[in-house]
Order: sequence, then C-alpha cells, then structure tokens
Amino acid sequence: MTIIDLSESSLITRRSMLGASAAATAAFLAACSSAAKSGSGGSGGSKSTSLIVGTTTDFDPPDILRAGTNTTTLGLIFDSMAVLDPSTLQVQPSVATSWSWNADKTELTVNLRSDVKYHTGRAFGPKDAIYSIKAVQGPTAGAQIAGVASLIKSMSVSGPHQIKLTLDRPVGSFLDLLVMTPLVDSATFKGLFSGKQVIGTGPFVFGTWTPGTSITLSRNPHYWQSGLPHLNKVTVRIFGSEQALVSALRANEIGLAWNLVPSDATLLAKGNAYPSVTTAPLFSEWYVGANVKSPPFNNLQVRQAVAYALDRDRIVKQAFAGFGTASACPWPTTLAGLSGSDDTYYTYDPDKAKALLKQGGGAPSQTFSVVIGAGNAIAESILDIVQFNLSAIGLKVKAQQVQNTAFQQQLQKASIPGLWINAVGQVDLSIGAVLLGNAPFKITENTSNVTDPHYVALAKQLIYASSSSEIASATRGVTDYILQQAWHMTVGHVPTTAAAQPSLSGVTVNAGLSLQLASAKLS
Amino acid sequence: MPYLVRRLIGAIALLFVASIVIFALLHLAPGSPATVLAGQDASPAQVAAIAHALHLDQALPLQYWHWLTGVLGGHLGESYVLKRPIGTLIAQRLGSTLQLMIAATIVMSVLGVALGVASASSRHRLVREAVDAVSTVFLSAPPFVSAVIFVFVFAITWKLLPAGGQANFLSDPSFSIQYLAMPAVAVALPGSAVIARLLATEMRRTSEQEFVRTAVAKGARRSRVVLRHVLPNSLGPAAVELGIRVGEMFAGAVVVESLFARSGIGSLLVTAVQDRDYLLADDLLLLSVAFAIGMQLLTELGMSRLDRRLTLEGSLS
Repeated sequence: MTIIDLSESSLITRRSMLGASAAATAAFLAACSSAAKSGSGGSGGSKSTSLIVGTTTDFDPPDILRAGTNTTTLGLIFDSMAVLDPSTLQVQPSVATSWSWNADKTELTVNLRSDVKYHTGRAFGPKDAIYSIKAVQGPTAGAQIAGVASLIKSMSVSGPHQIKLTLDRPVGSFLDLLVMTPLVDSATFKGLFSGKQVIGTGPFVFGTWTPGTSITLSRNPHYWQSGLPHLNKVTVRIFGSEQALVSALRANEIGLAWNLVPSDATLLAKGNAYPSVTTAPLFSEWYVGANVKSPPFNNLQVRQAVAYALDRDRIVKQAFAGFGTASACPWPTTLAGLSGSDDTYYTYDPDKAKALLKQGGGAPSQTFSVVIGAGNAIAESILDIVQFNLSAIGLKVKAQQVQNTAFQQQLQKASIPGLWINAVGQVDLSIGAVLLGNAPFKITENTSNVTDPHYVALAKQLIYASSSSEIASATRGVTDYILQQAWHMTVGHVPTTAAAQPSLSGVTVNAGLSLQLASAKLS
Repeated sequence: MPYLVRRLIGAIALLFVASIVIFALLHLAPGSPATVLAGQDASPAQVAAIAHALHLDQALPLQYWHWLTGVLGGHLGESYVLKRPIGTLIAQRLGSTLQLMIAATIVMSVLGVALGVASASSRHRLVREAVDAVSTVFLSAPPFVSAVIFVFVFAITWKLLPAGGQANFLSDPSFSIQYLAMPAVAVALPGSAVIARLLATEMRRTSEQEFVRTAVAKGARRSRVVLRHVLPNSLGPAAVELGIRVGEMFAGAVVVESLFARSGIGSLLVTAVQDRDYLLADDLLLLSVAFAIGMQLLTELGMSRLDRRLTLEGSLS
C-alpha cells in the first residue's frame, strides 16, 4: 500500500521548472559569446598576424633529428643548409650559399651565410654546422640521414663561414645531408630532447610546449630572410582526434588543420570552403611489405602474384581520396634513369596473379596476416582493399591491426611473418640516401630480411655513383631489382594533406614534408 | 578494529596487488620506450643501446622495486619519452581533469536528482512517461555520440560554444565554463539517467516505509515529508552510482577529452600506454586505481551520513 502519493506533492511545478530552465539558459547563452569567437582561425582583423595551427600529432623532441613526426614544428624552428626545390627535386641554397666539389668528388666545400643567428642571439658559424652533422651521426639519434652522414671521413672549418666535408669515395646522394640536417644549437643541445630549449635559426622562436596541449611560437625578428616571416605568432594546438580537429576548423577556431586524412581534406574543400593544402609534388609512399624469409613469401611468384593482385587505382580513389597517384615504383619516376612505365610495372590483373600462383605451386594453404599499425585511417582503408584483393585470387588472409609501438618493434626486428602495410617518407630525396636510411630499403637489416648480395651490390653502386649518368644507370638497376623481386610492393604516392581557412596563403613544405610558414599570410 | 581502518588496510593491499598487475602487464606487452625513441628506421642494435641507457635491460623485479620505492618515497620519476618530471606532467593535466570531473558531477547530480524527483513526484502519467523517455535518451546517448551532436549544433551551426579546448578556471572562469559546458554534459548524460532511475525507484519504495506513514500521520506537509524523509532515505543507490561514475571519470573520460581537445589525465594515460612510457603509465594507472578506491571509501562515508542506520562501525562491518 502506498503511504504517501508522491505524485500529489508536485514538488516541481511545470511553471517553476520552465522558469528556472529559461533563466539558466538565458544567463548561460549571454555569457557564451566570447569563447566561441575568440579563435584566431585566420579571420583577419586584429588577429591577422596570429595563426593557430591544429594537428593530431604532438611535438616529439626525441624525434627532432629525424623529421619523422615533427612535421608541424620542425620547419618552423630549424633551418637547414640547403632545401629541396619541390618542382625539380634539385638541392637549392639556404643557410649555405653555395658548395663545390673537388675534382674527384671526395671533398665538399660549403660556404655559409654570415648573417644567421640562433634564437638566443648567438651567431651561427661553421662549427655549428659541423656540430649539427655530428648530432645526426649519433648512433641513438635514429636520423634517416645518418647513413649518409656516417660516410664522412672528416669535417673541418676551412674559413670564417666555410666548412669542408671529406669522403673516402664519391657519394651521389651526399647533398641530401645539407637538406636533411636541422641546424641545432651546440650551446643548448642538452635541453633539446626535453623540449625545454628548442633553439634553432628558423623563422619562428620556440616559446612554450605543454605536452598534449599546445606549442607556442613567436616571430624571429632577426631571421636572415629579410621581411620574413609575416606572422607574429603561431600556436600549434594538439587535438586528440581528427574529428575534433575538423570541427575546430569548421568553427573557425584554427586557421590550418595540418596532416588530415585525405578524405577529410576532400570534404572540407567542397565549395572551396576550406581549401586543401598539400605537400605535392612531395609525397609519402605507401607499400605492402613482404618478409622474404617467411613462407609463402619466400616464393618469388607468390610475391609477384600479390603485386599483380593489388588494385592501386581503387586505393588512390578510396584511401587517398583522389589526392595521390597509383604507382608500383617507390620513388618519383621523373628521376633520371626512370620512366612512367615504372609506375605501371604492376597493374591490377587478378588473372595474371592467379596464373603466377599456379606456376609457383598453387595458392598456399596456410592463412597469413596482413598487419598494420592501429589507428591510421589510410592504412585501415588500404588494408580493406588488400584483404579483398588477395582473397579474390585465392589467398587466405587475416587482417591484423597491431598497436603502433608493437608494430614498430616488429618492423625494427624484421619479424612480421607475412605482409604489412606502411608508409615511407622522404622518398623524394636521392635514392642513395633512401637506401642508406629508410628501413624498408636498407642494404643491411631491412624490414623484409633481404640479404641478396646482388641487391647489396646494386645498392652500393647507386650510393657511390658520382656522375649523372652513373646515378641514372644505378637508379635503373636498383629500381628494376626491387620491382622484379616484389618484396616491397608500392601501391601509391600521397602528399600530406591539410585544409586551411580561405584567408591563409603562402603555406609551403620542405623535403622532410615539414610545414613551412615563413611566407604564410592571413588576409 | 574500526571499519574505516580495516577498509584502509584493504585498500592498501589492493593498491599493492594493482601495482604488480599494472607493472607486469605494461612491461610484458610488446614494444618498449626504446622502440619509440629509436624510431622506425632504427636497427635492433640501436634499440638495444637506448634500452641499455634507460636501464630497461635490468631484470623486471629490480625495475619494479625501483619504481615502487620511488613512488613510496614521493619520486614519480621522469617520462622516458617526454623527458619531463612525471609530477609536472600530471600537475599540468590534473586541472583539466578535475574541472571536467567537478562540472560533470554537478551536471550529473542536478540532472539526475531533478529527473528522478520529477519522475517519482509528477502528478500526470504523461509527464512521468516523458521524463522516463528523456532518461532513456540520455541513457542511450554515449558521450562520443552526444559530443558530436553538441559540437555540430552549438559550435559549428550556432557558434555559441567553442568546439574544443580548455581554459584555467581560476584565471578565466567565463571561458573555462564555456569550454566545459559541452564535455561536462556529454559525460554526465548517461550517468544522470541511471541516477534518475535509481532515485525514482528508491523514492517510490521509501514512500511505502513506516516512518513515512508516521510523518504523514503527524500531519507533516507533503513537501517536507518528501524532502526531509523520502529523498534523503532514497539517495543511497544513487550516491553509490555517482561515486562509481566519478571514480571512472578520473582517467576514463579519454574519449570526451579527445573529442573536445582537452588534455587531461585520460589522454596522457593513453599516450603513455601507446608509447610504452613505462614510468608515466605505471604512475597514472596506480593513481587511477587509488582514486577509484578513494571514491569508493568516500561514497561509503557519505552513505553513512545520508542514512544514520548505517554506521561505519556497526551494520556495514
């Protein structure tokens, strides 16, 4: 039996409830106008020299000498001695004004600018250039360019603004060292890896870094490029998800959403609402890797069958959202010695793939894994297509997402038993530098366990080629070997994609696919 | 032995067991901070050199001992990956997490109690059903769904609230509240629905108790009966639920933090685990367990205040 009818007590009347709700809402909305409109997403006005860049990748000090994950900040803070012209892929002067080789191309003389200063005010000099090269040479630095740097026999200061780098023998890709070595400050180097003293000579001065939240940078008033940068302040905001990043751009809270998934960049660019910014023609290469020590991929015909089974056009359309290009070749086919036919060395041909499997003894009976690092939208999309393509030719495939650190460990140990999908950056550099520094192609301890002396010989031929014709010929040899052996099956090339407020212009990138804002302007 | 003392001893034992489990699980997972620090182009020899430099090649029990004695001595250590004192990293994130927790707890409590009381006390069936329907919607709205809807409506379409971010409440309370509004409501909605239902059910049950009959027989006003007798004696299950929800929020609001670009303890923990940043992840997980246990103890204390029949030295023991 109910003792008291609660419904009769009517503690909260409709009138009082509605009144309270209306009052609270009105008060709340009245106070809410400022924060939503306080962003400096490049809308002009008084904040037109202050830009907020959004990204999902935090600043990563230990990675600073690698240009790997710091693509948002590295190019803002640090200069290099030379830069890569994106259109010609030729090395151009920057902090180094010129360079020259001796007759047998074993000694490089580099002339440096005299008007470059670190953010601390200390003048940059030739000793600093040598110190920076030594930093990337360090065994624990993990720099991609360390392989090239390790070929240096000696370094010396040969003038007030000049250094000499001596080699045992000519190295065709040596100038990439000038492009890929960030000029660090010897006086504050100890504080670099904790992110406490991030001192460079670049257009922006590192201010504060709150891990997981933001990085603040201010204009370098003593930048050696006269009149640059245009922006007074850059704030890099770290977002925990791509969705939050896109929302912030749509809400005009940021001016640039850097390193977006291509499909998001496409959606944002509709109606030119948020124009796409890409690193094209510089790109990352996506590939399917195979462990040649692990059955069935120790069988060349099985690997080639996989290469023919991959629908690269669909990958470009679906995973790259049309931003990239389908290619079977790891590097740009515009390089000397290569041609457009290398892009189409393998085209989607399931019948040929089935025939190759038959020649190789039939489709393997065992199930094997195709592994990706978890949380990468492009990799996930490629994985779906690859799994479908391989199943279509009769292979038993298990798609597997592995936590990223575990995936990285498997790559470092070359212990993935089947196939994997991953990306390689900096393939626009000289191929010799790529062979020395990028794990999939290294001549020793590569991720596919390739130890064929023929590959090592071809690679060394390219690394030590000195004349243009030698480089072209050796490039042809290495590329032919990689294409024919199919342990590194390129599926396509895609630039880093971003989206910006229409008011932002002048965004560029460097060879490491790092963001450059020296010429950026907000209208 | 007093109940509270026994519970504290139990909590310490639980924390000790948790420390072993946390440490073992993280260190036995594939990958290590050296893997991350070396980069993906590194050779196994380079990874081994970094692991040696970080003393990660020592025996696990020895590493555990160093960590445990460090924590007990108040030294949380330094992050392997971020190269910063862990105490500083936690302090930087704690404010954001506490703000979200407090705001979400307030929203959850107010909404939950309002809906619960409305459901139990409304004189119209239609209103009761409407309140139940609202509760059902709240209950079935996971934070990641409501967050997306809120951002679309309030930040992108109406531009009333910021899509994400955070501000210090003490230095900028107005901005801080605006940044908190959507995430706090998104986190609070499902919990408020559960609290409302528990409260409504318990209020209906309590209203049938004899002490309520006595109060009515003595001529007490209905509002007084409900507010002074029925409501306080019905809050127990809702308070327990609230305690559990708050305990979970400390490191569990990671999805909402991520969607609203808030850098709290949850997102720091996820990054630490992903990077196998052992010390940082170990410390944060242990802190989360300690917080959850602390919340449970506080809830029990709170319940004893709400219902005097429950004494910590008596019936609960």
